[in-house]
Amino acid sequence: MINVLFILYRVIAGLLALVALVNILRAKSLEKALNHAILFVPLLLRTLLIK
Amino acid sequence: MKKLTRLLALVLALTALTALVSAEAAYTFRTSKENRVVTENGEFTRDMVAEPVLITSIGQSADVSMLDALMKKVGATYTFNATAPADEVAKYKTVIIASGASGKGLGAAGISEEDEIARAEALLKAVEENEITVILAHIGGTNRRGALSDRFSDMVLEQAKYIVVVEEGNDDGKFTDYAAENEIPITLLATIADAMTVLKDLFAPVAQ
Amino acid sequence: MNTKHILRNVVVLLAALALAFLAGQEFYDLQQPDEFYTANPALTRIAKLSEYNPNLKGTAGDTDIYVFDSGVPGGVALIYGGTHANETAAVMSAITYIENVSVSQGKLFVIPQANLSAFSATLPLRAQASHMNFTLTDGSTRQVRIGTRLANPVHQWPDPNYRLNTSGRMLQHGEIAEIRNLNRNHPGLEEGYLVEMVCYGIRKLVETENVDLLFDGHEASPEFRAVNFLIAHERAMDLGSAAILNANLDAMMEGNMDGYPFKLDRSGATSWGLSHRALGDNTNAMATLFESLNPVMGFCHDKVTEELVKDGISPNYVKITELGLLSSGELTEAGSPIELRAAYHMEMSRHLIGALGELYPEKTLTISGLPTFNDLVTNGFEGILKPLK
Repeated sequence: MINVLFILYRVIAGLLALVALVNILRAKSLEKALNHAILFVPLLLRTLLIK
Repeated sequence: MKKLTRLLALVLALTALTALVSAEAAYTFRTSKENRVVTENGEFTRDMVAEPVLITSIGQSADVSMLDALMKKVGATYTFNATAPADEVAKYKTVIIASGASGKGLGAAGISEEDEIARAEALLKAVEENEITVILAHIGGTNRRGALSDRFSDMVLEQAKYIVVVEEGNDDGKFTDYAAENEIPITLLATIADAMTVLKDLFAPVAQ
Repeated sequence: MNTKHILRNVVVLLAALALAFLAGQEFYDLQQPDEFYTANPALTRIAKLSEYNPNLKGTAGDTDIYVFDSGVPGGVALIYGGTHANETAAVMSAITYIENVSVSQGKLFVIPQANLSAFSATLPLRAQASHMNFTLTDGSTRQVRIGTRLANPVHQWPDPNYRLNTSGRMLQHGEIAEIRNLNRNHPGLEEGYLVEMVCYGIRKLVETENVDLLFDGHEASPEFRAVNFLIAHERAMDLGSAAILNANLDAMMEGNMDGYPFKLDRSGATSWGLSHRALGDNTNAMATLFESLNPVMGFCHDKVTEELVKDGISPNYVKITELGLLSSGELTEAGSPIELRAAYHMEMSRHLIGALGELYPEKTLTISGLPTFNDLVTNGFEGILKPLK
């Protein structure tokens, strides 16, 4: 169960990173793009198990 | 305005007076690197103790284990029982009491503060009734000073014929002041290891 | 959306990726293992903790165990540091053992990085250092990671909302992150959270190897009341008192008339999950834990520099001491250098080993080769650590 949760959370982090990435590309203003970028960096690092 | 000024002056004067009255002389340490064991108010010698000897604790701090180690080191003959009840204490001629409170120690021994206070009262009544020589050993330094620790120490002081203190724990003169007022010999130690000198003199086997 | 917006957004994405790469590189570097000196001829073998809990194999918790087996029956001791990876003196003391110790009777196990995962990250927002560097006399550099109290979340994630662990300790609310703290999860669980499995591995090591004495090295902030205390399980109280006394007598004989500031305290009956309580209760080992003082761990520490981390010089704490708010003798302008703190760990553990044989002759563990207290304090780790090549 512990291992399953770990994988599940990693998948969720990955999906959220993907969503953030898409949102950066679709952002209608610089401010919004930067907001999504701020979310994207830690989500990416966590998906890759770097941080 | 004049009244206010007078009132202020009065308050200031009273404050200064209170400070003057309550000011205490700072404690001067007696021990040093060169002078590690200092005895005041007379001597306490081997002929003032008799066997059998018991080591016990009031407060259940770990200091009683240190005392046990010290006594083993000097090769003394004694019994060790940190939680000795009054009826057992009554069987001994000399009791060394390590005073100092420890919540962990009380917890480990399954004793509440109230139980330990009751045991201390009964034990000290027994030593008085049986004319047992009590040595107070306060060897835990400042860690064994505080409301509960001091309460335990105060109880033992009333029966103590001799006080042995690691001087760090006497930084307010508590033990030296009591010893001076009641003419009880007191030995101040620079560190806990210096207790070996005292215990050796009192309890080490004498070469035949 | 027009081309200009897409281009702008792509630039932002590329900038984010660059930032992730740059930051990620530093985080990734910290995940790389330390290199230790392993050419001590007394070293019998390097075991893995997974030998004692196979569930750890291939995980970030499978730490190295340095085994020194004399082949002569006698006492067995386990000395470990790195339960908390930011408590550097305990790690350095263990490293000093690994590089120098020789065992002529009995067996010694040394683990320098008990919570291996904890060395791969530092605590966020605390501006902690990530490495210590020592330039040796031959000009080479030895580097040791400094981590944090808890296992890295990339290795154990997510933290549950509630955990009743095998010690009976309830981890919840503000304490829930302690599920990644080795010293709240002893005696561990064979298959559970990573840290629980590491704790179980340590327990099985103690049971399988019939460890008589266990020494868990730690450090604490200056505000912590029990600095320089040896915390002993009740079965280890005699051992602890004898060791402290012997350490002080030896120090005085060597001219250090003040002795060591070591004090003894009993393991709390409700210290569930901590090594001295849980391993003391659940194994036959005499369990002890020692805390030295580390200024960089305090909340009032100065800017974290190599000087603070290695030399322990903290003007803030000097000021606090002058104001009478703290009274530890180590908070002076001379600082509390890592060599002094590691030397305290070494002296405490060395004398525990000595007392083991003194009190229980059938459990004699004879060790030699360690630098003396004065050697380490005078020469520093720059003069004591061995070059890797």
